[in-house]
Formats: sequence, C-alpha cells, structure tokens
Amino acid sequence: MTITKRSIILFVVLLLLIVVIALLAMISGPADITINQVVHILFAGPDSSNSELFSSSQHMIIWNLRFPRILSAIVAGCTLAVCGTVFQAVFRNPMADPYVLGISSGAAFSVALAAFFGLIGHVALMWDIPLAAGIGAIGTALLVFALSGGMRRSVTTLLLTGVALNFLLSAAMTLFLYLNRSQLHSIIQWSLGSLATSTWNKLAIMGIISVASTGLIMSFSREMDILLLDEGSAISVGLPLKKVRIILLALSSVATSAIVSFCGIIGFVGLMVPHIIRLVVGPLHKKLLPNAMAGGALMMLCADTISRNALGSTELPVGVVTSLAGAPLFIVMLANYRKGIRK
Amino acid sequence: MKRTLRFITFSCTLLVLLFVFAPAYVFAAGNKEQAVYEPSIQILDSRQRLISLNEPPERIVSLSPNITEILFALGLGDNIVGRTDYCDYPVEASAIPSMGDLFSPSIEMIVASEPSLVILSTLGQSQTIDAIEQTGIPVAFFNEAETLEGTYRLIESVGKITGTYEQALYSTETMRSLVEKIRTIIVGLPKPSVYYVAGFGEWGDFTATGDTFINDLITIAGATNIAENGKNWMFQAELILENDPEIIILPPSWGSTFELTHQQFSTMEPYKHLQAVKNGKIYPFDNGMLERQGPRSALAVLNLAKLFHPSIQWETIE
Repeated sequence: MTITKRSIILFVVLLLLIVVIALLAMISGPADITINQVVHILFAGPDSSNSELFSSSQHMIIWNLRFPRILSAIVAGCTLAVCGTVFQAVFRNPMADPYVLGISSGAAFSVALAAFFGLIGHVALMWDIPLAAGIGAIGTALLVFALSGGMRRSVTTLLLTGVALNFLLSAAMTLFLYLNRSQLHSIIQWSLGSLATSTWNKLAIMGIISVASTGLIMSFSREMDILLLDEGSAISVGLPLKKVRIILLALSSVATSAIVSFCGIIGFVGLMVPHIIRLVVGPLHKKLLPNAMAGGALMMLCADTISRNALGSTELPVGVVTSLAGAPLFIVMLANYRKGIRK
Repeated sequence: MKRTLRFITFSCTLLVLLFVFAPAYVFAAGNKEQAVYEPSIQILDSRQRLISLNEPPERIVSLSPNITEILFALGLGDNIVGRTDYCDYPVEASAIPSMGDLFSPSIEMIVASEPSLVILSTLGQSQTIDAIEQTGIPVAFFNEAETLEGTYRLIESVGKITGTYEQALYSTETMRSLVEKIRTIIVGLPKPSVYYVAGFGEWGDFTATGDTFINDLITIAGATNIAENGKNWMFQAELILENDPEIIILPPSWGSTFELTHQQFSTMEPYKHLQAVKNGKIYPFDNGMLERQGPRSALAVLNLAKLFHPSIQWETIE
C-alpha cells in the first residue's frame, strides 16, 4: 500500500472514529439522559426546548454543556497536535511540543500572579482566567523572541531561551502559589487542564483563532518539509528560511495561547500525536498535518469523555487523562514499530 | 500552482469558520434574550450583579458548606437539591445528592437538578459561575469579609435572596446577643496566648494567621493569637517556640482522629518542648464549626471562650 493511500485511509478512519466518539460523548455524562432522548433533543434544534420526551434542563445539558464541550475538545486537540508538529519541524527536535517556548508556564504564572493580587475569582469580570492566561502566554512568547535576538540567531538559541524561561516562570509561579495558599487548589486544578467550563462564547473565540491559524499553517506544509532538511539545502531551494520560521512560530504560538487560555495546560497531545501519526504516514507534512489534526481531536475527545465520566460527579483533570492513557499507548506503538523495522 | 493551493486552503478555512462558528455564535447570543417579568426579589451579589427572582427559590443548589449550613438554619433544608462533597453539617445534608467537590463541581449535574438558584461563597470559581449562568440559571455569589460581622451580612444576604430575611435577622440577632454576652463576661480577664494548628510536621507549619476568620473568632473569644501578625496561613516552627503559646488548638489531621493527631504532635520535635504540650493544654476542636462562616460561628466563639477562660461559670449564659 502506498503512503498516500495509507494516509487517506487513516484520515477517513480517524474522522469516522471522531464522529462515533462524539456521539458516545453526547450520550454519556453524570446526568441521566437516554440515547432516545438525546436523539430527540438534537433533532429538536437549539431553540425549541418544549417536549414531552425530554425536560428543558436535559435540553440545556445537551445543547449548552455537552455540545460546546465536545466541539471544544475537538478544536483543542486539532490545534495542539498541529502546533506540536510545527514546533517539531521548526526546531528539528522530536522533544519539541507546543509549550516549548514557555507559553504554558507563562500562562500559569500570569494566572497565579493575578490570583495573588486578588484579580481572580471575586471580581465582576467573568473572563478573568482566560484573559490573564492569554496575556501571560502571548507575553512569554514575545519575550522569548526578544530575548533570543529575534530570528537573527539560530533556532537553538530560541529553543534554549524558551527552556530557560520555562524554568524561571515555573519557579515564579510556584512562589506566588505558595504565598497565596487559599487559591492554591483552584490554580493547580486550572493548570492541569479542563474543558468543564466550555461555553459557546468561549468556543467561538477559541475556535476562530485556532481554525484561522491552523488553516494558515496547513498551507505551509511544503515549506515545513524543507525545514526538516539541513539549512544549506533549504536555502538552495530558494526558501526564505527565517521568514517562514517566524510566520510558523507566530501562528502556532497564537493558536496554542488561545487553547491554553480557555482549557488550561493540556499536556502530551501536542508532543505525542505528531509522532504517533508519523509512524503511520511518514514525515511529509501534507499527509502528516491533516492526520495529526484528526488524531489530536480524537485523542482529546476520548480523554475528555473519560474525564467527565470516570469519577461520577467529580471531574478528572483532562491533562492527567491524556498523559495517563496516551503515554502507554505511545510506548506500545513505538515498540511495535521498531519490531516491524527489524523484520 | 502553489499560490492557488494556498488560496484554496485559506478559503476553505474561512468557510469552515463561517459554518461551524456562525450558528454557534448566533445560538449563544440568542440565549441571552429572556422574557421580562416584574421580579419580587432583587439583590446585588458580591460581583455587583443584580440577581432577580420572581419568587423565593423553590430548588436551591449550594456550592459551599457554610451556605448549606445557613440554608438549613433558615429552615430551607428541604429546598436544597444539590450540595458539595464537603457539606457534612447538619447530618441531614448528607441525604442531598452531591454535585462534586468545591473546585470543579459537575455543571451537568447542577443543571440536571433543575435549580431555581445556585448559591456559593468564597471558594467560588468565576469560570464555573460563568458556565452555569450561560444555561440561564441564576447564580448568587457572596464573598463577605472573613470576620464575624461579615458572617452576619452573609446570613442576611442569603436570607434576602431566599425570601427568609425575617428568619435570617432573627438568627443573626441571636448570634449577636450571644457574642455580646460573652464579651461582657470576659472583659478585663487575662488573655491567654493561643496557637491554632492548621498543619504541622513534614508538610510545614500552617496556622490561622491574622487575615483569617479563625483569628477573628479567637480574638473575640478573648485570647491572643500568636500568629496574628502573619499572613496567608504561613508560619514557622521557630516562631511557635519563641512565643510558646499557653493553649494549642489542634483539629484532627485530614482523615485522622484527634487522639492520633495529638499523639503525633506531642511526641514530635520541636513541638514536644512547648509548654502547652507539657501542661496538657492541647484541645481538639470541630474545625467545620471554626472555619465556616455560618450559623454556628457564635457557638464557636462560646466554645473557644470556654477553653480560654475555664474559671468562668459558663453554664449560666446557655
């Protein structure tokens, strides 16, 4: 089977799985709603909540809680997986993930700082956490760019600056958390990632930013292939190397920041999904990116459905689920793949 | 060729944007339109948001243990349709279905229990409130000062919004008069120094510092909290030794008993050298009663005063 065929088949399979899991997610949750009712509620549309078959609160749960949450999971998964792929290509480093430039620790630091100054939790402003996290995330990305001398120096400088800033901001965040014990629990909960508070409004903002960025990133798949070559070959094919890198990093930083702002720090998806997909379809980005997107969405959807249902009324942090379930899967896939090569 | 491809991708992106998010946005916006009624109950909560209800709430979800206690004290126990894992007082509360923990209650379960009002106090999370409000359920968030005065205001606010203001006033008046009686009895008495153990040993030393509710109660009950100048629950073992408190209040460690916690504390370095340990002046305390701003707070002051001033004939005031 050719790689192209394999890639198309994988994409179709992933899409089908997403639809199936999304439907499963729609009918599962702590509130008791039967499959039959879910079907009726979905066909009734978002506006008509009067029916003998279901109550208005059940209609509310499906249309205002589960629906935006499922779509948020899909958007977050797609975006993180695509951004992970971009960072791995730009830095030519398999360890790179969407948080390598310090976006996650910057967001967490910013939230802890805002909480320390009493700006979180008891103000009239409802978007306190997303706003604080967004400012921290984008601010950190810009700071890393500025500190590493923009793009004039090598990507390694950029990467190491990001790593160093990651440590600095994590330490600063821990300090503010420690000084602010009363909100310790809430902030740690946030930093583990959760889709529990998804709403249509949040989804709209997060979705517009990330779909626009990932859409643009997709159109650079050929350039990303060339980035994986050594710099000499890249320049010899006439690629404006620095410009492409800057555009790709800026786009994926913005997209990652949007996800971190609304969903907290969800680990593993951005790091591992690109690798898992690469094992199947190879390194060409034209095939890798769409499949990584679908794979990320599927993984987030599964993880979020588990996190909603595993503990009854209490939710598991989705970041814990992604790593706990995803890492063993990845290790098994990696081992099988190596075996396949030896044969 | 490349340019065309990029153009196609870009247009596809825009199309996806339009088709997925435009209906979502319209739907979200349409949700906000609510019919206009003449509300009979109106109150500003701690976010300065006007909460309007047409009638006293029939079905209430309480997302804070102290709110649950207040609702029961106001005779609204039967109206509570949801609580948190930590709402353990009064015992009748455990019969109410739990919506989860304090920090991430299940929004889905809250909506499914069809409340006419959700009430929460200090531990409220803005994102959770936002998500509940998006479903059209009114949420009242009361974040009062962590003092006894703040507690009275909290009880009265809960009374107002639940249509039981009379009972709430009666409740706070009773509390006020009890605390006033205690004040007149202990006036002029020597103030023992006190240390409240919120955490000790390997986990670090934590106590009710000057900015906490417990500190307010200890002070009103006629003692000096040795950590009254501290902040954010933080303290150091060195300072406990230096101040060598006369009385130590030791609530049982989480998931443990007082006997076990007491044994650990009084045999551990450096605490075993404290005079309170040697004199046997370590007392257990119901930390729920002490920590929660609610109807039991005046009783907490009385129980503290009994510990601090054992020479008084306390039976007479009860």
